[in-house]
Amino acid sequence: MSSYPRTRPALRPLRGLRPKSRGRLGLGAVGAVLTVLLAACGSSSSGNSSTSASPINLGISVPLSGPVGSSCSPMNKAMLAWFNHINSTGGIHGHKIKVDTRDDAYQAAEAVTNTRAFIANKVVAVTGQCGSVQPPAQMPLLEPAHIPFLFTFGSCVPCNSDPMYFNLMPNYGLQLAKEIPWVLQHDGTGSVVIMTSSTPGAATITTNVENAVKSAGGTFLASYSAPPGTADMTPYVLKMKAQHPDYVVLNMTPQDAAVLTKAMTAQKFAPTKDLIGSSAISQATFLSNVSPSLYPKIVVSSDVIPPSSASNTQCAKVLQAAGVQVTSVTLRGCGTAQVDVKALEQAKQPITGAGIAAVLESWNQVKASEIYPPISFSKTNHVGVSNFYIFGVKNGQFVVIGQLG
Amino acid sequence: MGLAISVIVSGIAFGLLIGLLSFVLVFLNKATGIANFAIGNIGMFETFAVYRLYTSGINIYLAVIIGLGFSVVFGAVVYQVIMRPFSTGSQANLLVRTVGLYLLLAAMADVFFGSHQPYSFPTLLPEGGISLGSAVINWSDMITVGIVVIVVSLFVTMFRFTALGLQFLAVAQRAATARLLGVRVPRLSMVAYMIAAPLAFIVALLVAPSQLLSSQMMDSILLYAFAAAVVGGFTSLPGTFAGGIIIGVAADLVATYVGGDLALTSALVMMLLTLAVRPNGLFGTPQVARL
Repeated sequence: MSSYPRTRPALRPLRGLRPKSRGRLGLGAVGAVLTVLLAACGSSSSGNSSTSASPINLGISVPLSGPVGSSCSPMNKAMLAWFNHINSTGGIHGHKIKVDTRDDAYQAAEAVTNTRAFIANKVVAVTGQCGSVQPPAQMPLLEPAHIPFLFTFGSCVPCNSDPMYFNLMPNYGLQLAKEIPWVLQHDGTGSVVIMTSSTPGAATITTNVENAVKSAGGTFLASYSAPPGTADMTPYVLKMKAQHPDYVVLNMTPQDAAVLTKAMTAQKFAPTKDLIGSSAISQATFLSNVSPSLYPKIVVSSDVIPPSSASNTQCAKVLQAAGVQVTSVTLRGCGTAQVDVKALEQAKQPITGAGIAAVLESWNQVKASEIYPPISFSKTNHVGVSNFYIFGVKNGQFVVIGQLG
Repeated sequence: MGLAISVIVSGIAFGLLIGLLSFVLVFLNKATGIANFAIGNIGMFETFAVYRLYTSGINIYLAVIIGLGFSVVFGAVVYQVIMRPFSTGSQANLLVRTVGLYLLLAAMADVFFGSHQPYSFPTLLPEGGISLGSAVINWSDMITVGIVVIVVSLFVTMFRFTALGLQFLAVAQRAATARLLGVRVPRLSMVAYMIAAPLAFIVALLVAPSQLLSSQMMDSILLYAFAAAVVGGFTSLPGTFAGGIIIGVAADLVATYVGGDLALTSALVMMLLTLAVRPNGLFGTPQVARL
């Protein structure tokens, strides 16, 4: 149908031509129109033409700047690299993926503005968010618009009950609640303090950690909270130092966690046993800024494989071809895009938000990505990954030292 | 009690850093009539430039010396390009320029240097320190004290014993009269920026190793520095260090005993209370005008 406006001008009388020529040209133009129409009918009946198919619109609101921009921007680049790869190989059933990426600078207000634009532009899903501050503000807009919010890299405890909210990784609190008994079993029970960034849901995560410590036979000493981007971490370190904990649990942005460990090193403090973290810090931004003296004490969880295990994956090849460095964050971005694509491939045509939600809820141990473990959702469970890895640090790199299922 | 003393000691170290940035703010305010909101990011941008030199293989100390030279030129360029054109405009116009410059420098740092930030910036000062109770006073903190003493001494000397200092004081007191008496205010303002930019660079060099080098590394310190400038008195250069120490110690004590989320809030409350109760700060002098 889109051919009509383009061919119409050819039917107009052409000035400066003799009547006979005009007639021949007119016949030729009619013939051309008929040819185009026939071709269009043929292509619509076969349904596999990528040129006539409308794109699949996705929205991504993500911090490309601001305090976590440096962590989230590479993830976004990796997602776009995978979507471009899919588009270059024909798209999804002939439909190209069109992504509207907007920077929210880790600000809930900016994320809300972006989300309103996505709703106005009728995206079929919002994906690729990175951060725990923005999703609680976005979800109340997406829910009534029946647009699924897919696979945030962050924690959104208030979102978990929303029928259109799907996540791959368990929130940081649940990760830590599973990880802490494993650590206390391997390295012995002891006293624990938790240091958190002040983000929505941080109090719930602290409660999860406290309960996990107590049920694993440990002693929960205290919890501390600092706003993201805190200028001076020394007071928190001094308080921890006064408690002499065996374990310090970090529930922080990777930058803040790295800054805290700098202050720990300056104050000559380290926990007797381990520094425990979730997938929030199992990334290069954290590890590259930590003093090597703390490496043996680092134990973190991750829902994606480490870069050291990803060399033969399709993701690694696509990222390298796109000039994107292969890190845990970019692998996560690529893996998330793979899961998005799998859901879009399986969703009923024409693709709608409800269709995507329905297909996700039907997944049971689906290997949707080479980066993530098998994924399961149901009507009552919208967290896809239940198995994850435990990383330690060897030669300055994360390596798998255990697995939790 | 031991914890409180340790926190006070760390608060003084933090406060001196705040005070140094506050000092630069107040100096620019006195010399040019405008407190430049972008001063923290000027230091940040210069530090990124030095980091780029360092990662290209230049020795860090040599890179810093080159950076100091660059910062003098950068200060002059900032004044000539951003602040000088139509500088007789309103105060609001000039203030908005500083906010614009603040945002521009952050954006430029993100574009030119920020692809994998934050970066580990090498520590220029000796690591380790002396244990005092449960706190460790780092050598870097003590060197910061030394830097503060040197900076204050140099400025006191300049203001008391040099013609340049006298001209700065004249402009700060009465810019119009100073201009009538032959003081070339634009040139003096440019010199002020050529002094302020290296000082901001030094502050950023002290912040970067512990805060990690990123385009936002100076943001929260700048807020504390504004609070310190108000508490100390926006017209008093020595007052900035007193204000910095008061704010630094108060913020660290609040973070320790009340809650980290209220540390910055406490500094801002102190700033507002000072403005309400003692508008010229603890060490500022009231501006007197003859009617």
